[in-house]
Amino acid sequence: MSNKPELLSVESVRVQFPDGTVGLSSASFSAQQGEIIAIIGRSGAGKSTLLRCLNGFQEITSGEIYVSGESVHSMGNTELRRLRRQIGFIWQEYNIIDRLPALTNVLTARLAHNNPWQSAVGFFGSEHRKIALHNMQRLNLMHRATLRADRMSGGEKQRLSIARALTQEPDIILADEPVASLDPELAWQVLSDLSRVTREDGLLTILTLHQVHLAVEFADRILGIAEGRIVFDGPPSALDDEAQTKIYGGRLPQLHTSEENYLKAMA
Amino acid sequence: MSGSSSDVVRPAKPSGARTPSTDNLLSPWPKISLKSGGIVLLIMAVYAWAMTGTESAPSKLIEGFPAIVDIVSRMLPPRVEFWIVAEHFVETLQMALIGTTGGIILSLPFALLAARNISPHPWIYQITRILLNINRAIPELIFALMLVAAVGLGPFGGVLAIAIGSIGSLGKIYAENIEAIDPQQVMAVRATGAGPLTTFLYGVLPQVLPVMTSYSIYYFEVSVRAATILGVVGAGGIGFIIQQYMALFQYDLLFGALIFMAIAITLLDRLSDLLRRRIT
Repeated sequence: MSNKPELLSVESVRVQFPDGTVGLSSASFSAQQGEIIAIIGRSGAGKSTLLRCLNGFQEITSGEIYVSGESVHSMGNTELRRLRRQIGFIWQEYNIIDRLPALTNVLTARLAHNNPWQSAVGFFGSEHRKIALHNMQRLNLMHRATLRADRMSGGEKQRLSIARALTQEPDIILADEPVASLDPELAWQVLSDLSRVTREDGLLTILTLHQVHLAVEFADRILGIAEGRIVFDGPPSALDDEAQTKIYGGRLPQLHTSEENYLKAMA
Repeated sequence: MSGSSSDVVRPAKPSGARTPSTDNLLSPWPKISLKSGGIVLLIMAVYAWAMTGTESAPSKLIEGFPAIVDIVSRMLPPRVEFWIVAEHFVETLQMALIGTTGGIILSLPFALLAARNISPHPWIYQITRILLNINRAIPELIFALMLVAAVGLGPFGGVLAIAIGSIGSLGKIYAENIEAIDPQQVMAVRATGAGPLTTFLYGVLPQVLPVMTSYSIYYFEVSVRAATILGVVGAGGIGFIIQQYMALFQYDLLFGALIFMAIAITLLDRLSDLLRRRIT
């Protein structure tokens, strides 16, 4: 093929859980390198399900997902591991390994790159350590490198998990409600950090968010999901009252377009 | 539905239970129902049955009283052959140390198979659990009897008995520790593309290592207590001395050895407590 395939392409994806409920019904979109996409919608609308399909944690019932032109659906275990190496994941509850030091936590991102037998005895060569430390520096965590992760604050843990995701040297970052466990001020800071580093690296970033104003502030593009369907796909500027009604079913959250107004409103 | 709005607060659904009358709730007297009276009668019947079965009767206790007094009087005053007892107690500690360590190593593979969340297959999980339960049902003393017959008299039989006898308990508790981990942290490691071995080492092991270490130290204490008795069947340690004192009717020396053991084990418990409190 002469033209490069899109980095991510989701085609009519349907997810039906074993109990019969439909998580996603016919979701389609595609995304390019460097985009920051926020997925918004009410709880249970299918936001997390969509993210989990993208790295193969959630099996899809029908449809296709292509990452760099390869079908996720037809991947075996080895291919799935290679896919996951290419995708950094950031979680609402951080999912840092509490009893490991910060640096070791970041180094877990190199497990898929390092020789497994070296990893088994805790050996990570300096090439891996350099990448880990570089990313910790970018997130201002160097002073925490040897601290056990359970001694860190919520904001630090989430920055640590961003550093971990970047240390995979991924093409895509997925973030599932990355700031839902943080207070408004920390949420703003963490999203600023996340969008800064992923823009610097030109990564495709897809994050789910509960707060529309954060999506409007930090994303280039917004996907609105309601009842398992993508009901809005466009730039933040196009997210008018009508679009929000479609996504949220009538309740219109207040929009705040600067950090100052946002924090004032949250206070 | 057009009429309903998600903002409407609905009252909690009434549950099936009746609300008791206020008179009943205010009454200070306990209510004895037919059911609770029946349960009390049943428990009394079980005790009566067990006492008949074991021929337990106060009259028998009174009959045996002079003999008990005789033995107790021969125990007093206690005497201690300190160095002999100490030497055999140290041997007991050595047996417990090597035996428990062997048990830890032997039980780890069983623990991995018997933890529901990481066991490769539900059948393997069930079979391993059954094997661990069978092992737990057999006391160390029985293993010691068989192993002394196999490897001869002396502490090595005791070491083997402790190692094999602890697989069931250690394997079960380790498996339960593994089942109690936070699966999200494991998922986060898996999400980096790590393989099964490294996911276990970096996602599971750090979570269970402190609690497993703490339990292993505690189990060393348990093994020391178990090891004291193994000498009675010829498997070395302080039990061997106790067995000899009894055979020679040296009850004062026996009492001295028991006092020594009580003090030594209490000190050991304190030490293990202090050690375990430092592990988090």
